[in-house]
Amino acid sequence: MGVPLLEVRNLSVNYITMRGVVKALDRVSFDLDENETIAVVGETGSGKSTIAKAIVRVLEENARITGGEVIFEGVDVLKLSEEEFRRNYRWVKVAMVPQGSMNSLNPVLRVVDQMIEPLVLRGVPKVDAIKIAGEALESVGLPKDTLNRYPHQLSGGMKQRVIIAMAIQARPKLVILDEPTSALDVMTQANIMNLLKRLKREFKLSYIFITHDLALASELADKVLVLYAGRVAELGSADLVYTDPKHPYTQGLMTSVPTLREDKKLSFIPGEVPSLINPPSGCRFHPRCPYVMDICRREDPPMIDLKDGRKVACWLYH
Amino acid sequence: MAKVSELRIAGMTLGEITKIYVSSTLGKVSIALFVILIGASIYAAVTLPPNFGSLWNNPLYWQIYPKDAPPAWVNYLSGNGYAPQVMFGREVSTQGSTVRFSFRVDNEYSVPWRDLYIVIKPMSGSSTFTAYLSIRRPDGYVITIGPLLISSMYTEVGTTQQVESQVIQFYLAKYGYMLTVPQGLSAVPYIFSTVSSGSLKPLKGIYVINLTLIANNPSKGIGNRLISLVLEGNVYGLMGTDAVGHDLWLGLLAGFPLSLEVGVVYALISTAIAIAVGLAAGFMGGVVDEVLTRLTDFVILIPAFVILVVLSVLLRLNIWQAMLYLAILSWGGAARIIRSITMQIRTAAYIELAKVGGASNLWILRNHALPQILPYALYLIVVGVPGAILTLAGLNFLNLAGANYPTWGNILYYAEQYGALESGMWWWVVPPGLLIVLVAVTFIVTALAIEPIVNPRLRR
Amino acid sequence: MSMLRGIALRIINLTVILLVVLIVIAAVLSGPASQVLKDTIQRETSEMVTTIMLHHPMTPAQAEQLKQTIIKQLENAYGLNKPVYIRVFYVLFNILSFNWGFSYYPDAYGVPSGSVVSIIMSALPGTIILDTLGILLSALIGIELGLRAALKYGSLYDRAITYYGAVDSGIPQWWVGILMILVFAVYLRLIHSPIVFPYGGIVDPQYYNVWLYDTAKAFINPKILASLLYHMVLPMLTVFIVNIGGWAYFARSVVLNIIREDYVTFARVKGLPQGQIVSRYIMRPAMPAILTSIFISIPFIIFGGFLLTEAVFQWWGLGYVLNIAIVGVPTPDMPVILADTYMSTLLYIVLVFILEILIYYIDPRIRESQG
Repeated sequence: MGVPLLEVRNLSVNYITMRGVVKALDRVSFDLDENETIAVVGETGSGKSTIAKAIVRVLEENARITGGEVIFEGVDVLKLSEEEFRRNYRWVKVAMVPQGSMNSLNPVLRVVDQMIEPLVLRGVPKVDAIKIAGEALESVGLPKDTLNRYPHQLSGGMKQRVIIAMAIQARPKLVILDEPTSALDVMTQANIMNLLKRLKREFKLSYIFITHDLALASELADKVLVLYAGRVAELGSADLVYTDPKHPYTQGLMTSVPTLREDKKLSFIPGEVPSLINPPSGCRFHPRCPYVMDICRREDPPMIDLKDGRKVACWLYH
Repeated sequence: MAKVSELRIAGMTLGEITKIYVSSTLGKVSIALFVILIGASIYAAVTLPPNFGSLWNNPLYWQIYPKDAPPAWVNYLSGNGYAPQVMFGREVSTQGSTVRFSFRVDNEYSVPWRDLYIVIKPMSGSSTFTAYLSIRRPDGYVITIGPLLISSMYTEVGTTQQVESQVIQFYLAKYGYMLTVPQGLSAVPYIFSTVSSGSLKPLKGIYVINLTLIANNPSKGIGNRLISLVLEGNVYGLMGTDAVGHDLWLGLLAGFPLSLEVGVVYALISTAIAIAVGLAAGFMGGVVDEVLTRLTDFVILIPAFVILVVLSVLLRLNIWQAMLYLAILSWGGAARIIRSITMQIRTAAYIELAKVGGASNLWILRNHALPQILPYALYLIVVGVPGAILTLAGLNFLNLAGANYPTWGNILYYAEQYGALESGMWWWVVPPGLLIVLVAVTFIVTALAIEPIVNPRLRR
Repeated sequence: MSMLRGIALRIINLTVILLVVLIVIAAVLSGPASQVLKDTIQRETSEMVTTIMLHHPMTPAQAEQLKQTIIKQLENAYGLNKPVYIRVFYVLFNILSFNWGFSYYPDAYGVPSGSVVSIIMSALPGTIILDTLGILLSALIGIELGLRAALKYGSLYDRAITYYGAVDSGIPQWWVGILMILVFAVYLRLIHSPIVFPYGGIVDPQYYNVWLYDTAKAFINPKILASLLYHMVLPMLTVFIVNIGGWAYFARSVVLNIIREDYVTFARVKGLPQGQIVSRYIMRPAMPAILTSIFISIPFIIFGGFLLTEAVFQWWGLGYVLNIAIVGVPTPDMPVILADTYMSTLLYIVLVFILEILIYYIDPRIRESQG
């Protein structure tokens, strides 16, 4: 396979808040090849969206990347200047369908204005840009005249498609999908998922698919990364993780798979998502873990490479 | 479901609110400012005489005060020695027809007193007196002035022909100096001056002023009277005086309780109207909402200031009436906010009620709407005050919407009329405006401090 | 097409509001306005009878009778003997047809003929210049300052702008004008500064006549124009000091809300440069809200502020004329006060109107809901 498209190495991000420092991401690592999809799964507050924002470098003002590398085609993009990154990566190599895409369109600009902006910026003549935008819309199943609409005239699903169209018209290598279907109804959700699958085939895209919904992830994922409280719990090929989850947290998630889409509390796992300001000692999952051992309370589990190529952070497999 | 047993405002107990408020810098500043305002108001209420209004508007009362005098403390800043106002008084009770006093005064000033007044209280029209003054100067010379006929409560000494010639005589006799007293000006400053190397200089040192007062009707005698000598200063008091001689300190002080009362009462009235309209519109919906919303939009659009100007001219409104009209004309913005909050609460409450089972609008009003709206109403009250204070001060500046003594805006009106501006009398034009700003800013700072409590989204 | 229709609807809407405002003013003022009309009739009838007597000699009693007859007829014609609710419409008609009568003190204004229309019209250019330039420039500067503050949220600059903006709304504009005169006209003269500013006025006194009677010509003459600008420095500075803060404060809070919107983050993800994000993704969506919030404070603070500022600077405009009509003459000059009120209201409504159209034009959501 050669060099992976994207390597994330020991990425750590802190948020500085009034109540203290939130360790949102703690030494997260994963690889992604071309035309591959990795699903990043976790509960609300596990740091999923932070990964997405860190890769495209749009973290909030109070966020600090405290360590790690994001290597895109061999270049550590975290070391690039803001201007260089903006010019050569954003919407050129990396596109993103953000969480809350309901509100990701500027309400006072027409769809066409917002779609052609990145193209015109990179020297595409306006007429051509409009043509490309129209084609992109058609490829996500929207009529061309959507171009002349204002966002408030579109439904949620249509807005989502517009944003996906925007993402693919740039012909990027990587598209980060941050909960792309969370605000949509089930029918629309299914349509969008099919669309994403088709586009991946058509344009040879790689996806980072961020979701709290394991069932949804299974439709698209080649790899699964399970995130718990800012740390990688388990990382491996989708087949293995789904059929034979190793980490107790993943196992818990799997039993809750046949639920509705909604962000359900993991009622079968007692306890709450831990505070990231004062995380529990040792393994962060130990207060909720059914197999908790003494060592779990004292020491951080190391990342253990299993024989099947999987990584699990759990003392059970030490 | 929220329990109503404990009083909670915006989800917090009163204790928590106080804690948040006091812990913020803005909260502390606002409390400090309020302490100043309320302290000044209480001080004004206690110290100003109850008939202050009629006193202020009686020019006779201010006759003996210096006119256009800067505050006394300018001496410390400028290094100039302006003589301040000095007053000596003695109560006499005698059947005799002659009294005699002497006063000592230390002239350490480079600009001596402007004038001298003899004040006798009480004074009835039928009794008159004759006064003689002899002033022993630090250089040993004595200037004798008199006889002066005293027929009213205040007798101005310096500008009479007689006094002028007596002073000129003195200069001629002692220094061989031909003194000219400018037309209409007092000769008194020259009593405190000397001639050295051919020009006039202030003479510093101790002066002893002897006053002899003789009743012109010996059968009546002097009687019970308070007899005072007033040396009119060039500087006066804490805040100086205006063209009439008004002690501006008193005038400014009187403004504190007035502007606070007017501002707060205005805000209470306009917010009450706003709550009534906003709640009705938000709760009743339908036609009522449509009509009230239109009305609100309309009230927002009304150019309140000009209408208020016309009404004040036409109906000769006083400041309280003008405040009332202003309140009637300017509740629109607040009503719009209350309505939108009410709508939010109502729709939110309905969802909740759908689960629990029906309840009356009144119930929602009492248990959901009011607890949420009241803190906001408090905020609107605080926010409303500065606008009213500014608007009313603007009317006062047009000499409209007056009280029975000058407001700060009115003091500024007179300052403009008397040309205080062109003659650079900063003590007349700067402090009243600063006080208007002080009161307005106090409420603005308070509003800023309250905002995070009222609006949880701002809490961090 | 639909946009034109929307604007047309908006115009109708605002015209209705203007009419209602005028009706309310007319109702409130129908008493004094009728008095003004009665005075005018009296005066004109006396003149008329005097003229008639030149050609047709008659006894004083006859003349008096004739006069009373004419007055009665005219009062009938003007509806002065009608009930109040009808008279309101006569008053309204008089307002709309510029039938504003004569000043009680024609000499106080320096405008010949003493007709209120000519007094008010001569004051209009001054007010329009000061108000439009003042509002426009302070809006531009203020919004820019507020935007920068929001972009540097939490910085010292941001806090300074916030406090300035908050305190600003508690400062009487006219008093700042007084301070300006005190410092830049009075004290600068006192210290013999080479640069001093005038105490007041709109142009140098020798140009007053041109300004009052032939304002258009005044703008062509470079000397008069220079004099106008020279006289405008202090009033404009006053307007800036007091208004910029408010605009900055509103702009800042609106921008702060918008900066947190998803579409701004998304614009960054899309690789747009900062300048483009600020202009198209922050300012464009912020403008309607900024304009709306200023909207509410206009009648209260800005409007009153401008009128009184004119008075302080003796700037020949509606505010100064109003000031003269109230305190510059022995008794309030009712005809001028009324006409000044109508005119200021009209001007104000036009301002509101422009704002509304602007908001309407910028925000497609509003366009949609209205069209």
